[in-house]
Amino acid sequence: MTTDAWTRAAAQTRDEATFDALFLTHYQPIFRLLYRIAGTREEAEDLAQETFLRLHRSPELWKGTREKPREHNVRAWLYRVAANLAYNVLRSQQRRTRREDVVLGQTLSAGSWEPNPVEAAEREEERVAVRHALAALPERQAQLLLMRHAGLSYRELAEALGIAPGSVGTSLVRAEAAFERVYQNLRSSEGGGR
Amino acid sequence: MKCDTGRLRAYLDDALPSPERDAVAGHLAACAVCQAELSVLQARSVAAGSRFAALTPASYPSADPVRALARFRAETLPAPATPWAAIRRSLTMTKHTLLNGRWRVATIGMTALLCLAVILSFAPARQVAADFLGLFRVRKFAVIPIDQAQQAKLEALAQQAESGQFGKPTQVREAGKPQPVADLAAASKAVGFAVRAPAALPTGATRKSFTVQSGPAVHYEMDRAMMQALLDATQVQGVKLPPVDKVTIDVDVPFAAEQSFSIGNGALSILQMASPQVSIPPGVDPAMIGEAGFKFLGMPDADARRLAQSIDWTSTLVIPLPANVVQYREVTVDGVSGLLVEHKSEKTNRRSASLLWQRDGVIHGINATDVDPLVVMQVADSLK
Repeated sequence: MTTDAWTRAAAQTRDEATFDALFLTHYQPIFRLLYRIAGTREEAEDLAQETFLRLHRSPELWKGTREKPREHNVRAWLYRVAANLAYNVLRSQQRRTRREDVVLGQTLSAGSWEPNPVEAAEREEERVAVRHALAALPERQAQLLLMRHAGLSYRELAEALGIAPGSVGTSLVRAEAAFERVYQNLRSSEGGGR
Repeated sequence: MKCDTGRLRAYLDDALPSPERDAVAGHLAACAVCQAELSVLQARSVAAGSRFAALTPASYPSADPVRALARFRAETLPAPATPWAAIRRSLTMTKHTLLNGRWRVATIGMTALLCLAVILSFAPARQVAADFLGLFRVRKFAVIPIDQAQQAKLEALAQQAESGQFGKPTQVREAGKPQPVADLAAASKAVGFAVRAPAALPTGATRKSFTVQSGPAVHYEMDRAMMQALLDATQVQGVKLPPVDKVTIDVDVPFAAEQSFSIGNGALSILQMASPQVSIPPGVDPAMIGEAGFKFLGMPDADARRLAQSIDWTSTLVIPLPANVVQYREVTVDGVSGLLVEHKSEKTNRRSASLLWQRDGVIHGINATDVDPLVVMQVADSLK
């Protein structure tokens, strides 16, 4: 092996180790964010794999620097990708559910989350409404809410959305207002239909 | 200091640097308008918090990051990869492409079809099978064993095709999303043929889902320059381009029905679909393309020709299988001849089996994980 080859191999090992560390640090919270939306372990796992695959394909975020990667950047980036995947899932599930309602008279249920059936049914209704409301929001607003409620800081939200930290509050106010409006509309139209 | 809703919101979340926070606090004490606004924002924020709490399950399934990383390294990451890993990676990526609604035939360039066939032959993912199972009018399945180097060549070619070097297909109709159906009658009505369900399932099997899904339709044109580019990329000697200015291929994948079951720790899914139609234009000899494909894989000229001539290319799906990582054999199933492919992952220690056969114009596929292949065959035999 030439010196160059050794250097390259060493750099590669170091890069892979950096990536592995990032994976292990962030996997669980990313998985949980995705699980809240996907509703099944298998889909959440697949989406999490996809999220990290995209990170791996963006080496500029984590590769080659001798210093520690900019942790909050990577975290924000991962959450943005995951929130984006989650939003896509919401949108496609919503389209599907609508068609079923019409065509087959069925609703999509990801299964019970609780042992008590009455509570579970109420909770399921709430879950469906929240998901529909999120799916009805513009992508960035839905992403922002997903990321905020997954625990990202204002600084990370600003990083993820590419906006000034000072604008996060304003964006959040708008997103929450839009969400509440859509949510209330959905709930009241549900009530009126029965 | 002026009243600023965004700043108030940040104040509420304690997300302001301390001098600014103190300034807002001071301002709030004196401004009734901002106090009122703050309480509105607070109420809305609390409401949103409680709504989102509904999405949080009572408990999360365990998500072991170390296992997930092992899977990522084994299945998802690009080279260096074993053929099996390469297949799984293509599969994972294809699945997510589908999931995100950005479906397109990534690799339809002639010889690269073979590569897709590898993917679908293992397909534990219904979307992949539903969309790709049979880019020919499939009647039979034939296996070409390939080694690691050949697999790498196919992969490389597929990547070139994916980058659009041999033209891009036009999506005439998008693949639908899987839609749940209540029973066999509903499924049969939706897909247009009689869907069958297993009469016998192993103890402990529970049905997870029963869905139907419409397949995509794709139009693909390849002019002589692209054909030449593909031929050059394969470096196959002694093959002439077909005597036409361009080749158009239309692929129409009809409906598919899928039933999924869990059996203990394992899973089994049964896919049924009418054979897709592929119209290949006059002037194009599929046997010649097949021969070129075999040469591409390194088969001696005479063998490639003999083998290509022995296959009915209008009805046979040729599946290149990495012989060092999977076992395959011809089996009699459901009263006809079928193909059973088995694989055991060294890394995850999980066993996969895929069973493929065609009966009465309907392509059947069963994909199972951690289910005895004999049981898979019994399930196939019990379809009614």
